[in-house]
Amino acid sequence: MGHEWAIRALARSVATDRVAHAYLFTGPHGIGKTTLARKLAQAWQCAGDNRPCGACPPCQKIARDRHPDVQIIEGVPPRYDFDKDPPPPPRANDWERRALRIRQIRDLERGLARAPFEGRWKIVILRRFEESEEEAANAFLKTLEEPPRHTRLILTARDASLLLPTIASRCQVFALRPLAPAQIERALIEKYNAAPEHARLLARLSAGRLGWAVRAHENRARLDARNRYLDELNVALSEGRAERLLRAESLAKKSDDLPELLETWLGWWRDVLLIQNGDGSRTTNVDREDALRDQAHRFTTEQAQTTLQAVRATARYLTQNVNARLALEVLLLNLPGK
Amino acid sequence: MKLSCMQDNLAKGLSIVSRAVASRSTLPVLGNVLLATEQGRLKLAATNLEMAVTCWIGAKVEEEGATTLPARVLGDFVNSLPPDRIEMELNVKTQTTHLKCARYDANIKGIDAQEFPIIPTLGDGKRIAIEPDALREMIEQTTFAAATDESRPVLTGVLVKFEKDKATLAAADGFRLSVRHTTLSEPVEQPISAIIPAKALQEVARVTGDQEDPIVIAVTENKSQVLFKLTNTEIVSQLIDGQFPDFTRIIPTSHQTRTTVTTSELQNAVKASSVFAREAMNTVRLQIAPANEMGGGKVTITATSAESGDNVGDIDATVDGEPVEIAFNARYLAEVLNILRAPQVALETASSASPGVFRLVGRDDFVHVIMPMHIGK
Ligand SMILES: [Zn+2]
Repeated sequence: MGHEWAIRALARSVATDRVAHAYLFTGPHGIGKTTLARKLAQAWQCAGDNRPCGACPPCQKIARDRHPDVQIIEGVPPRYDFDKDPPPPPRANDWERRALRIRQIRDLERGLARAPFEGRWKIVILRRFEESEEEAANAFLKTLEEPPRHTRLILTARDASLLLPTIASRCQVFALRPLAPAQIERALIEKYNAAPEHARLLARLSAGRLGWAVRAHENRARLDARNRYLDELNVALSEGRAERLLRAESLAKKSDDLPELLETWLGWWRDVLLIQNGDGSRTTNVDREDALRDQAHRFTTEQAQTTLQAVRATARYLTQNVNARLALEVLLLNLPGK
Repeated sequence: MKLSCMQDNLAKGLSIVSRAVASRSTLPVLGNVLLATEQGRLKLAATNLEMAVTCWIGAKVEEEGATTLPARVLGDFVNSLPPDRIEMELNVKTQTTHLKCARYDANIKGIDAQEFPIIPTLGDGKRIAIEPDALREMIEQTTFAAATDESRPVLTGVLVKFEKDKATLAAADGFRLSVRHTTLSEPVEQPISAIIPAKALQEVARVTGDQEDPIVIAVTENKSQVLFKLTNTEIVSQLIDGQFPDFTRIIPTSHQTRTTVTTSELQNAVKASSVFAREAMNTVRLQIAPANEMGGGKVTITATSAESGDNVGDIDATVDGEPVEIAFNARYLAEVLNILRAPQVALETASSASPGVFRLVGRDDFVHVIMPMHIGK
């Protein structure tokens, strides 16, 4: 679903067996990079006629991440102990920071020295390669330059510019573009049995990322978190100085949530501005139109604009290790008021 | 699946396949043993994706089927049972297997057999037959010299070559090299060469104990796997991809001194020295002196530790050539002396800085080379 151009290009290369040994899929979290990588892995290992058929045993094993020759590797949490700790759980959210460590690259090299077990190729999907530690990336370069002959490598990353140029330049790069909301809405209804109203909201909130929309549909936690973040914002707007300072303090304690919280707030103020500019049909937060209209009316365009910029600046400060509580205090105190 | 088999057969089969169970893997099914009915027998299999071991045991099959059960749980339970008949029945819906033996009952939860990797079988690849005792001896005399650290994957393997009627195994870890040849009863049509993980070969040696018929070795068409077929057991191993170093160039072609000693005497002297060598980078020195008017040829073995003291041991030797002093790692010496299975061993040396070459007296099918250690004066 979606990314048809990339699929067509990849399908052609699979059909003619003119295949690069390394691919890099780039795009925002949840846009479908790993899904596309699994599809490509299926095409390579498929035992059916119309590769990937999706029905043969290899295709099905890959779909469930159970194929012995298709390995998905991604970073581990800080201070993860490879010898003692159990396999790390899935990320709590898209912003949770992990690191791809050199130990993982060494294990990978060891595995690649062996031929495939039951498939045609040994395929490794390295997710979010921008999270690799420098020594891991450097070690990986060696594998990328001289991969064993039965190897196929697929990297995913938010953006090619976040990787070492020596790595990106050795891969065939596919930059995945966001899908149209209507396309996501249709996919959610037809393939994932979402209720139309729910599908419409998720499609808007997803910003063109089908993977995000599907995960939010399958796991209420994401939508719950988004609702909580918007409630925080709306309550803060009606609060005075002292209450806002307390709120900044409590928000700062959940530092892992902050990138997503600020992303949500950014979307909110974008919507307010859209309505003020008479462009209300393009808003994202379609389930809260009344509140959006109310604020578009209550605040000036200038206030909305300034707040949007302040939220964006705060998100940037937080990536630069600025004290989270201070940054949030400044932001909250500068929100427009009653 | 519904069947019964004898406890001792099942316990033995599980102990054979369990070495291939993966201890930590992202694929949970690799921690399980496959149990499947096959032509009136019970097939057991395990794999860690580098190696797969399959073994067939006698069973009375009432209903065909297959499942996978956690290796540790199944093994521990079966080992705790009396030597009696075990009845086994799989509930396909819950993937739970009921085991009953004498007055013991267990229900073990498994994973669908569909999840288990497909283990390659003997295809129409080239086949070589080899006597089990010869193969076991070749494995024992080479695998110990393979590297255990993974920084150079090819060195964790053993180069296995078949050409005409000659089979060769060679292993090296950068400090030593072990090469062993044997003659095949049936020559191969085309030469075959593959790097097999040392661990897999050690497993092969381990299960050849009561094998009487020749072992059939097959390398699959695309040369990615090798299969060892025994009467009731098959071991498949992934081959290691890469170029094995040209070992013939490591073996010195000439020497100044050839020293022949009784293997067990050298073994004992090295053992005594290693006590002191442990604290001195494991160095033992061999002072080799030819016969002279004072007496016969001898080798003086010494080790010196700054903390614990030193020791000296003398053994009789037949020395042809110049006197020489050379130092080796005590562990390397002990390991090669341990697998020789020959009463006499010859050491060929050129100088204290050149590799030492160990050969069997009167035989040319074994060569072992050890890099010398630096002799500080
Ligand atoms: Zn398929």
